[in-house]
Amino acid sequence: MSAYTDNFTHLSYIIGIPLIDSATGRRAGRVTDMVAGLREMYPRISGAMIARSGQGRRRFYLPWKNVKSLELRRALVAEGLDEAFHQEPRLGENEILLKETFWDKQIVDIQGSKVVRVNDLHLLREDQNLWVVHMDVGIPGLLRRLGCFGLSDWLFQLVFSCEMKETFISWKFVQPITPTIGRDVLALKVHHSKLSELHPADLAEIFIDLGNDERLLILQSLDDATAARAFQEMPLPVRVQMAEHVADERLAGIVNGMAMDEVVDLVAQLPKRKKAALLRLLPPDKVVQITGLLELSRRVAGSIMNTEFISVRRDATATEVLDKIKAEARRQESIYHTYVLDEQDDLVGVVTLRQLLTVPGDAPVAGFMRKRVVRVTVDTNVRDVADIFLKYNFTVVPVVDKHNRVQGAITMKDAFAAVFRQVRSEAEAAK
Amino acid sequence: MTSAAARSFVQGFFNKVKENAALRNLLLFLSILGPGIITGSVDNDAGGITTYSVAGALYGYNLLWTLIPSFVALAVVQEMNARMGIVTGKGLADLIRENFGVRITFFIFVGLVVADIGNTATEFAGVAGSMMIFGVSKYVSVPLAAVAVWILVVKGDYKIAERIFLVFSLCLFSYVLSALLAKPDWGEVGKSLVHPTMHFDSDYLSMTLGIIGTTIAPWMQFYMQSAVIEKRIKINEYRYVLWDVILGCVATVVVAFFIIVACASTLHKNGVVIKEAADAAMSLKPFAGDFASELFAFGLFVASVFSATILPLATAFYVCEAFGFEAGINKKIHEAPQFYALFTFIMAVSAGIILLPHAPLISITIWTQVVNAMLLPVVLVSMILMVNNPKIMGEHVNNRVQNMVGWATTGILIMLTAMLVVQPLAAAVLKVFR
Repeated sequence: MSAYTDNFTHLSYIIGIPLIDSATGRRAGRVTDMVAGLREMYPRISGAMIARSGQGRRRFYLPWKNVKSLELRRALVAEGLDEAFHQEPRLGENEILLKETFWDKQIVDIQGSKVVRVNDLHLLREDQNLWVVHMDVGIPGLLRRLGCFGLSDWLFQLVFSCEMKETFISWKFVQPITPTIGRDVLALKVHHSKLSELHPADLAEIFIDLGNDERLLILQSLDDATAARAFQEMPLPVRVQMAEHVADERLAGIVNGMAMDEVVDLVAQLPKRKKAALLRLLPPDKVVQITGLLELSRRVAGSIMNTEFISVRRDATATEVLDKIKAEARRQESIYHTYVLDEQDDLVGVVTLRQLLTVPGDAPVAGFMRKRVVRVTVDTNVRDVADIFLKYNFTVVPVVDKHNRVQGAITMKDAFAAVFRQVRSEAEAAK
Repeated sequence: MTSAAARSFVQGFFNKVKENAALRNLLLFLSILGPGIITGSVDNDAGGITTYSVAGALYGYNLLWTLIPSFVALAVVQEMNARMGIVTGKGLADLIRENFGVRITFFIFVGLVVADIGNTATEFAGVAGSMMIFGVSKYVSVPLAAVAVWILVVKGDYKIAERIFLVFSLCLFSYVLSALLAKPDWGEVGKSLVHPTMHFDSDYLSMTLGIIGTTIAPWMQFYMQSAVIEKRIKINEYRYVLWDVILGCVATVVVAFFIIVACASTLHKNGVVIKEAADAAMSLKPFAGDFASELFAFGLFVASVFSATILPLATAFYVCEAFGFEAGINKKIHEAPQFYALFTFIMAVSAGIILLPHAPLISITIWTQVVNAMLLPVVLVSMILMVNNPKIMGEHVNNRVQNMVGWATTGILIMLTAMLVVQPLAAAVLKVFR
């Protein structure tokens, strides 16, 4: 029994074998599933689900401690059956059904950061104790399930004179995503924390590969910040599809962590009711920004500008401006440019951080500010904004309304990103 | 200046769209359009065209009525697929594997691959036959078509190809023209649609089954569902999908209608017997003119190439989906080796069969139908069971009417296909004993 090669086995060699009552030596039923506890590093088999002869579809729970011996592909011999079967089968808090959770289902392979389908489970065996160590996702696993591994392997070796390559994924890198068992139960039992290690772009890829229920299940287990990052990486149609299924409060939490322009893209595509619910739940200042930006077409400067920027009056001194920058730096996207406004809030000049650091501290900004400020208006096309960045050598441009009052600022990155998106969607539409 | 003008025009257009609900709906519909139409067009492939032409030549307008039940069955089945795709976001292969296990899945897919090789072979036969009308030898046309399709899929941009095919599927309406050139007797046509005549001799029956059977093939269910998922359609856009499905079914049936009419009003009237679609194109010449004949051949060619692309591609895709291999035409060969290997294999084998000097085309067609007939009940029953499972479909399970129509369709189809399988076998057995 303890020969080295016997140390590993497969779930498919246990499912379906008869259960023998050690007291009578007679067949008492058939193994339909295995139960494993998730407390240890690798899930440890803690019991089996049994279909008893003549009891129809009802399933009974056999604790693993009752098992006397396990002969792979032959029989499971156990004692104390009457006592065990007397109790209602109920899974413990940390227990899962192996066959139902994994066979034929998709999992996320964290190491390869992709979605794969499980053919079989690879178990480590020591006497009667079994642990789940690998997910079998290869062709040999498939053949084992079909019950023709032996023949195929023999043929393969005959033709290629080498063994068929097994493809295993270590339990350490496995993220189950089965919703069928009852959503809340599994979500609680199996932590999805492994997923947050993935790069948001990889996470987004995984979301794209999954069915609707699985997407929601995984989303449930991610914190708002991770979910928001993954959301931003998804193609817009997938993002909208998911947002429609997420509960309103949760969606608000996720959206709160997303960049404003991405939020606007999403909100613009949501159905009316969902949009209204979302706007009710978001902080008021965000709602004002979103509704303001929604009014604008996706193709004008106003829709991509950041509404936060630093501004001062003409008579402020360099030291005062620097203090203001220090105070606001944390929540500003860009701190290099400070806009100078007159009493009517008209844009009259700009000073850079470099200037502020090189002039005497008591110099008023009116004395050294650059008076010719390149600006765009709220309805300037984003392509023209991008052109301006190409032409001039700066990284932020102010956006003014028709009365020349500053409404926001656009960074070079946002402008190029918007144009890129526009070009890409045009290219996709052309396909 | 012109760009500014263009921009303001675009701006104005978008504003108009925002205000006008009808226009917005139309745009939404157009963006979703595709899965149903493409499935419908692939449905009228070389095999379909053959069945319709033979039916028209043999029985005249007599069998036109079968198109009505075909339409209903097609629409019901495809609607269920579309709904499952939208609600679950999963392919039919995925769902069957997850809910019915690996063995049924394996059975279905061995069948699908075999049937698909047969189907694709008939497509290449269609290519060979139609190009023969234009005087091109099959040893030139078939390899060229196969290589062109392979390059298109492996090296090219399939998205663009799909659009081209969508436009090409309009070419199928060349049959309308063919039929009009044949000057059918419309009174007769109308009468046979309204008053179906039933004969109970075995040939008539098997032709009836053939028409319905060729309209609903197992692979279509898988294709339809994947196409819907690819479009990222949301459940509140369901009604647009429904229209897409109906439009696709209408297109299928209308084309079939005109093929039957074209052959009935010429070949049947003059007692010409044909065996395959290319014969029909050839025999049209003396009755309806060169142009009608060439139109018919051209339609056959386009349909064959279109289906010879979609069928192997779709089959390779489901097999990989069900067994967990990487798949998709946007992947590179080394990223999805099994997918491209399977695609190439199906193409090579089916084109190879046609290039054999005496390709047993008739028996390939029959055996393909037999395999399809064995698969169809399994696929349809799995589908109905899943579409009624609230664990899978939530609130979007079938309602009672949908279930009645669904089960009735499934039952009748199973019965018909069973008869279709049993009949040629029984005939073969009888022959042996005679």
